[in-house]
Amino acid sequence: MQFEHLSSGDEFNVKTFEKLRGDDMRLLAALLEDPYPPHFNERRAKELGYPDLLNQGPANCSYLVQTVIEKLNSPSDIRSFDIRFHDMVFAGETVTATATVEETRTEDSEGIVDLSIALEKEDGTVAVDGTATAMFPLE
Amino acid sequence: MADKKLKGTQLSAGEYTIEEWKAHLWADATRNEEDAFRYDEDAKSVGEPGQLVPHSMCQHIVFEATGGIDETMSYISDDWTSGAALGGLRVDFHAPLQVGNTLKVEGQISEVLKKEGSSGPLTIVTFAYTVQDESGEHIYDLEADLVLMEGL
Repeated sequence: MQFEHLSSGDEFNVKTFEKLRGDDMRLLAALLEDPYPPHFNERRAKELGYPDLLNQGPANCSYLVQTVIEKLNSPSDIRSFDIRFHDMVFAGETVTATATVEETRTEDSEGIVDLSIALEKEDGTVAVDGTATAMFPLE
Repeated sequence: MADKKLKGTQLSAGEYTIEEWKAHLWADATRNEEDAFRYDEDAKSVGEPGQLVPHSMCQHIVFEATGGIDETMSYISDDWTSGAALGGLRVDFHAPLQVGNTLKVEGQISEVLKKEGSSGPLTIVTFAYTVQDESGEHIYDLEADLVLMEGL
């Protein structure tokens, strides 16, 4: 993807994560040393009225960031993100992450792209949204 | 109990090093298809010196460096597992996140806001962190908003 071809309103990327896996949530809970039961214990999750294991915020963040870095020369070319968590995401759900170009500009001989990003559930509920900024080398 | 007097509280400064295996498994657990987070050779192919750390680990890094998730949450609640959630996350990256780098983290509670949410009173506590590597290079800044339900 080339900076010179991007403009406001362009679809930057769309990624769908089919049927989120409880085993991924258990692995992430172990890596995080996260003691919150609904992230690894189905029985506790259901006692709280959840349909299945609750996905961790950093996982939902990762889906959004992936939508940005996948189109960059290097993952390190993402410069910032600012996200807000609105709704819970559970094992078994399918979520779609989107990134849309809001603005392009040049700064210090680099192409800078501001993006709006959102993570939607199958029913259209926005679980997480926000903005991200990424850098592209100029031609 | 989160009190407005918490604003300005300095957290324990500390260090954290992301190891190769953890970045790799984190990428697996979050279905991240970018192999620069798993293998040196893939990172080098995009101009990086070696395996990268997934960006979504940045909150975990600052929590671990400053005492871990339980110590972080203990500032705001005696029983955070009964009703706390991550409400927002803001990160500015100044340099690549490299596996093996030891990161030095300083943090503070920068804001405490009490609000009326759709399901009752809540308190939003913002933790702000600055992260540098061992040479003093500024790597990233992070703010995390933790939401306590029922005005704990």
